[in-house]
Amino acid sequence: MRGRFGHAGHVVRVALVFAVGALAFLIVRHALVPSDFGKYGFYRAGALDDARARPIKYAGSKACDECHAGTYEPDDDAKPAKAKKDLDPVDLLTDNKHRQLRCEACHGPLAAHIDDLDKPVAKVANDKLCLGCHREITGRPKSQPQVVFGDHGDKDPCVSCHRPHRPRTDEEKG
Amino acid sequence: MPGVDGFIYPNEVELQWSVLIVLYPFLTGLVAGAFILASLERVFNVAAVRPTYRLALLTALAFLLVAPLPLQMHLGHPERSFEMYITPHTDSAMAMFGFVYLWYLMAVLVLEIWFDYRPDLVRTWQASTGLKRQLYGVLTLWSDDVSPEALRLDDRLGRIITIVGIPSAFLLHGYVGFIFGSVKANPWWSTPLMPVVFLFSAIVSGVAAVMLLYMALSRWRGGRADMVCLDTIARYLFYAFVIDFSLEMLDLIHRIYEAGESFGALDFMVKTRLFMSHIVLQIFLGTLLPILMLASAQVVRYGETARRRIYAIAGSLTLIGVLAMRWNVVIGGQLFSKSLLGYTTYKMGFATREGLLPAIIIMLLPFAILAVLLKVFPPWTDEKQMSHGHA
Amino acid sequence: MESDRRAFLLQSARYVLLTGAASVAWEHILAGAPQEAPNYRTTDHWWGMTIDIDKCIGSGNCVRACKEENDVPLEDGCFRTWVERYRVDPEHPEHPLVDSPNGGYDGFPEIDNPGGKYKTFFVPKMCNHCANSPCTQVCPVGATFDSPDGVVLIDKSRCLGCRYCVQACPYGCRYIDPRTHTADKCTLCYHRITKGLTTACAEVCPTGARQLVDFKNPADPVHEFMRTHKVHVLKPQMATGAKVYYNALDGSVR
Repeated sequence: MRGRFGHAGHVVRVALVFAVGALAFLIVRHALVPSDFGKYGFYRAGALDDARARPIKYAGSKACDECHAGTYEPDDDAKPAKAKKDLDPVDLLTDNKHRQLRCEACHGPLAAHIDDLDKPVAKVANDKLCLGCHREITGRPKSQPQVVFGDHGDKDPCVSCHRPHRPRTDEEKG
Repeated sequence: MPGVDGFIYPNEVELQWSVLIVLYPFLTGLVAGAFILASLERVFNVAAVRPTYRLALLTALAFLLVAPLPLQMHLGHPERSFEMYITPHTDSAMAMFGFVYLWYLMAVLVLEIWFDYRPDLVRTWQASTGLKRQLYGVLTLWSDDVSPEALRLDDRLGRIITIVGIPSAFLLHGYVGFIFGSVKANPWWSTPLMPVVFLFSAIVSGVAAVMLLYMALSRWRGGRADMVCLDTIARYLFYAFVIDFSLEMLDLIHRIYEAGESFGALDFMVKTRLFMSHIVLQIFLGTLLPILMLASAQVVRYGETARRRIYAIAGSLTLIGVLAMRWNVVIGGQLFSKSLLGYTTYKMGFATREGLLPAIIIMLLPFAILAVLLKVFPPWTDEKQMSHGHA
Repeated sequence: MESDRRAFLLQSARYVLLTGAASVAWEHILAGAPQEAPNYRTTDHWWGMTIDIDKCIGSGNCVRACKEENDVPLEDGCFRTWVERYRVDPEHPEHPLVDSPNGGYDGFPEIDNPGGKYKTFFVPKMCNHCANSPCTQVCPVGATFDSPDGVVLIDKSRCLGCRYCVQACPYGCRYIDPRTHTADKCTLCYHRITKGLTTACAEVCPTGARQLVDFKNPADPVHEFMRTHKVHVLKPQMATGAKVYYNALDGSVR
């Protein structure tokens, strides 16, 4: 090498080491970067699909409405009678204060029930649930009806006087 | 909640960056500082510090090799860290680290060491047998050209590399400061002064470290460090310290004067949780005291023994102070809530992945590597480079 | 026997009808799934949320539903959404008293409000899915990113767990999942909203305080909402382009 490069032979050798290293890096890089990287932005495009592929646990109240909502004729074949029978025979969608409450806010995740209708939906009429929203605590806006448990109706269960699916309207209270 | 005062966001209860992330800027800072000391001789022709030239380069290399280790031990997935090389997000300061590090390691430090050591390596290669001969053959890339022309070329290239190396060293450690300084979410970190403060404290720590190593190694070899060299290093250490201290004070005074949104919360934190590490260790013991000691050595004519003692003590205090500064920035920046309404505590484990024990090991490792480097690349084969007991 | 066969036929008919009804219901859920409804185009949507402070009653439903829907660890320090309660002394609005016991997961206990002097309210918090998100900016490998429809997501297969994004978020909405050692945060229930459902937190909110909004949908109530309410984002001075808009957010909120 001394002949070809004079007294710079050692510099050429070290330059070669660097060049080989750079080349190796480029080859490895090509192999390792995911093929869909950068398609929509600086990320792996498949991550969008990954984010969408999660299982769903809360079905959403539209799914409940399919069977449970409205007043319907028992002989309407599309709506099974069983669903009507299971639900308290009142209409959740009429003008009442719980109207904005969707089913799963109290009943918990119900996608499993939609998936397999034989999976029962638990009755959730317990005081702890009601008090979760209605117990009087500092912070709640005055527009929210609040009670101090014990002061209101002694220690009777809430459902002994209240209907969760249709709390009494102001007219009914008189 | 234990350890929490006031209100913190629920996700802030545990610190994100541990003591290992304190070590990382400390180690890279030593690298930058050691290199600046080496470049004093190489580029700015301060001949007096020549005895420390090679030692400074080897010290820089030893610490640079260990620097990625605390990062790897901190990552949730160290096996994915190569991603920073193949898909670096150019908006992210952290992504650019991989390339700055690689550039500095290979194109600056390794090359500079190689060009400077080549004649010695060739000589050792030709004089060895067996495995040692193989090793030195590789190290010389099997080139035995030590003719005057080749050496002149080496010298010129080495000089160019050092010139390029100075901004590279600034970049290596300046970007660490930028990683913190550019986080607008954290008022303790977010300031344009951060890269500059980090850099100058790095220079101070690196210079002090090489000075101490030079003194210790000289003693260990049975001689004494050259006094003219030490006096010169101490002088440059003093200059760098004055700049570093001015910058840190500027940041502090600016914050106190402006008294912005975060000032109340940060002021309280410094006066309570960070009092020992910030006021006592960093400012008083780690900055003011060594500055005063070094300043006095500039104006008072101490005897040689007194000066050696002053430099040793001041140098050690400097290193403690700079380590404390890294702690105060990294840990301090996570002790207060981003709500500015509360504080949490740092629970450092001992024998855990990011605990005190790995931190101690990581701090000791560069010295072990340096010991090996000193064997393979002895800095003082030339008798002229070392003085034996007299100035 | 006659009655047995009748019973069997009736039972079978019920199953057929139930299955029919269930599949109709399930279609609501599956509508928009990539394989069933290729008509979900990311460019048709620009997602955000509105949160009405006047309506929030601190039930904690959202915190529980989010953890359930998204399989979030129940441990401390792992919250994709949480609720804070503020007590503001009108004489010292810059020093509010804030509590968030377990992020509001178990609701809120009663707390002192002597003489009713404090102004009190609840503030649900979550990822703001910023249009100029600082977390996306600092991610070294493109593991966290902005989807074309305005949702900030995390690619768990590429995240290094360096925690830079957690540091960079001004809102404290990110954490490290202790099971995967990667960053994690609210995904705006991307798996739900791309199928025509709303987010889990909005679904179970008892007062409708939390609402998913799509700015690119001309029929979305958000346009009217933004016109008629005094809306705020958190930490506007950070210029993150936050897309969670609060109604009636008090100035003391951090």
